[in-house]
Amino acid sequence: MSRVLVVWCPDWPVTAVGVEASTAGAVVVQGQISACTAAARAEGVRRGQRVRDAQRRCPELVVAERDTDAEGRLFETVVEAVAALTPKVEVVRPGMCAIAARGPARFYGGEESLRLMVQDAVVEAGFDCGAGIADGLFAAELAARTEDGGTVVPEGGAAAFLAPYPLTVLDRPELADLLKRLGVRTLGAFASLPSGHVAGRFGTDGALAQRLARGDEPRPLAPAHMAVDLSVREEFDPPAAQDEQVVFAAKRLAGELHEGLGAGGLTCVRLTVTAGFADGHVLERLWRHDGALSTLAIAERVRWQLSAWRSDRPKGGVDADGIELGDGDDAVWGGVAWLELTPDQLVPDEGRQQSLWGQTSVTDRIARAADRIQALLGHRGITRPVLTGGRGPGERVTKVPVGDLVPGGVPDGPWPGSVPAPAPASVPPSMAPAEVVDASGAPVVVSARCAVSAAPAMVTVGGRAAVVTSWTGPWPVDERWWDSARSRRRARFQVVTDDGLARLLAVEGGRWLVEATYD
Amino acid sequence: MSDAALARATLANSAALESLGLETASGLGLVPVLPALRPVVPGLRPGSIVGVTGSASLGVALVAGVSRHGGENETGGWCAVVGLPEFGVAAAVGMGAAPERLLLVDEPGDRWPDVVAALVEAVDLVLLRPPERPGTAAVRRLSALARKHGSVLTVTGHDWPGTALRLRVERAEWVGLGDGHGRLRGRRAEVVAEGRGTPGTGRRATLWLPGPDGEVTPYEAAPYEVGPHVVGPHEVGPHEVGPHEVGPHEPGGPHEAGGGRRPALEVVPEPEGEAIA
Repeated sequence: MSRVLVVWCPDWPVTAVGVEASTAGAVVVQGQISACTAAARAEGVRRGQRVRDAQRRCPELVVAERDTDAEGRLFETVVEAVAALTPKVEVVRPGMCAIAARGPARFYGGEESLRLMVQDAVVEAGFDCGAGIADGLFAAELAARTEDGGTVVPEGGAAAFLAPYPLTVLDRPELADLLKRLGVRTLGAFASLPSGHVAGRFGTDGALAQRLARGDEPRPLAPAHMAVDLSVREEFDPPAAQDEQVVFAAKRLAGELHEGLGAGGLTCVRLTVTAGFADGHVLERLWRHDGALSTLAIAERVRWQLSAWRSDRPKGGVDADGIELGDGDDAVWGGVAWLELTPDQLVPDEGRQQSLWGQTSVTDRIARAADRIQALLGHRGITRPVLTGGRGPGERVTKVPVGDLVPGGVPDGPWPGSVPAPAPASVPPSMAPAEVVDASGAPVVVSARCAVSAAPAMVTVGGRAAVVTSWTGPWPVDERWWDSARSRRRARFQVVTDDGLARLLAVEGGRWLVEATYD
Repeated sequence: MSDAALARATLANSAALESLGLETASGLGLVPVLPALRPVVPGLRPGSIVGVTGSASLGVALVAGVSRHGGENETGGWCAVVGLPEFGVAAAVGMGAAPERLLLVDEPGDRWPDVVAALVEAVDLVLLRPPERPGTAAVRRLSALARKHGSVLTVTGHDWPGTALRLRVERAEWVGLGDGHGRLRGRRAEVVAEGRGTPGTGRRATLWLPGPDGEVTPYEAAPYEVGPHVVGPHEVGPHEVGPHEVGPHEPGGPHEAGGGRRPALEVVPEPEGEAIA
């Protein structure tokens, strides 16, 4: 979080037209008061009043048309005065400018002395001003507007500083009005609402306003960079030998992680838990999160991950490198040296939509079993099949790891030339080579024009030969011929052999393969 | 009474019982199987071990039965398949399985007992092919867990001590292919059940496993008898039955196939009735 110093000149539009702060004065736009001096405010003049009403309350009111050009022109003097102390002044609007406070504060001997120096410089230039330093622009502006010329809000104290302010300072009248009717009257109360709910009820602008109320940056940080920023890490020195110690730390880390995510109005789809061991081994697992995991649930997953490692571990004796191992828990890999939680795939926190009644959802029971298997085998260890388009039996099924989203944009077509039903019961993930010979013992070949050299008489798969009793084919497919890298020409045969098996054979590039077995 | 008629009668009987709300699979507290298999096995006892040999389709059929008819209120149960990377998901769907309620663990490695232990707590049926001969400890632990949670453990590929029910396929015959023509229409298979709960030497029934549309149905000779001895090469030329006719139930079966809808790649025209030799 950056430290920001804001210089704020009160009632600048009035000052710009040459009205002294001590006299009652106001500038008008289209017959309505746009800004007024403190003296006029004391008489009851308010922004938005009609000139006639204002003059009734304060008969000696000096009224001038608003001159935005003059405001900008005159504010240059203030900016120059500040720039004499530190370069790179950002004009927020005429009447208010900001500088990054961290560097100059070191140079001028502390934030308070910087603040006083800037204030003095502006007053010397001939203008009344307040100066405040806080985390972020919003808090710094309010700090500059406090009584007696501004204040310094200590680092990390922005949320506490902002808490008592009314919602009107957010400059969102509709939101403030609605929240007031909901019983939320201060920034503190607004900030304490769950960010997911605020984002869901009030949309992006509401979430932004809440970030301001929490003393965070108004802009959400770019998700690409967030991944690094939001990871939380704990070092163990000496390395933690007991699971409990690591799990306990994981619970706290998970709390920090959720705080970091919540501040950004974000949630993560998956969570990477990385544990480093004293001897340099790193154990990394990806967990499904979907904004649904509590800190306890994360701690539990860390425990599962560690227990998966524990049962991997050789039980004493001598390991592969011939190094003698002890039997104690901490004797292998030297205990956990550090633990890191990294959110993966950040998405805006939009709340969770439970699946509607009657829809098939992964029940808690199933999800728990899947989590345990993913702890043992990794994220891709357990999958759910999704039927997709394709011609061959193997292409029709996509296996998606449990917890991942089902891929969208699945091509849905008539798939002319697909293998007809019934589907084979056995579709090996990789095709086994086969040899197919005709009655004379010569290999059966299929010409480029799909002429079969001779009827297949014998099929040999994995060294076992079987006599062909009936067969059909070739069924040619010429797929993706427009893409030379992925194109494929294949001719399929269905062959029944005397061992009772029916096979789907494919010949591609002169080689015979067993694509599937009807068994 | 032929096998088919017997199967039909038994099926009708079980349907009648079902309508009375009596001895249906769920009424007996059994894990359901596909209707066509019920003459052989009325259902699987929860927590029991079922051995499957001789056919991958049989395991697929058991998974499809639970996936379609199992679960609470018979709205569909969850199944897991462990150690069978070649499990034919499309075949299971053809028999009625819901792929969204299938979990696949293709490569459990030597952690397979832990994987199965986690799954039997959650799903209604686990189809398992252990990557190694199951040890005594794993057998005892997993059998106990399955019994405790009422999940059916279906084992294929290895013998499992304490198997209550063994299913196997005898006398299977594939139908639909000729000498260079036709297409696979289905398999006529005799399914035999042996073990506790099956009287005598075992029950048997002849089924289409799978049938022409991928489903498992009682064997009835007439509608699908399209074997090579019926459809001669003079009726269906070797190239006319292209792979693009996907619909299993085209009116008239393979006799109407082909004609105007040829594959994109033209094949060499052959004189009709001559094999490519």
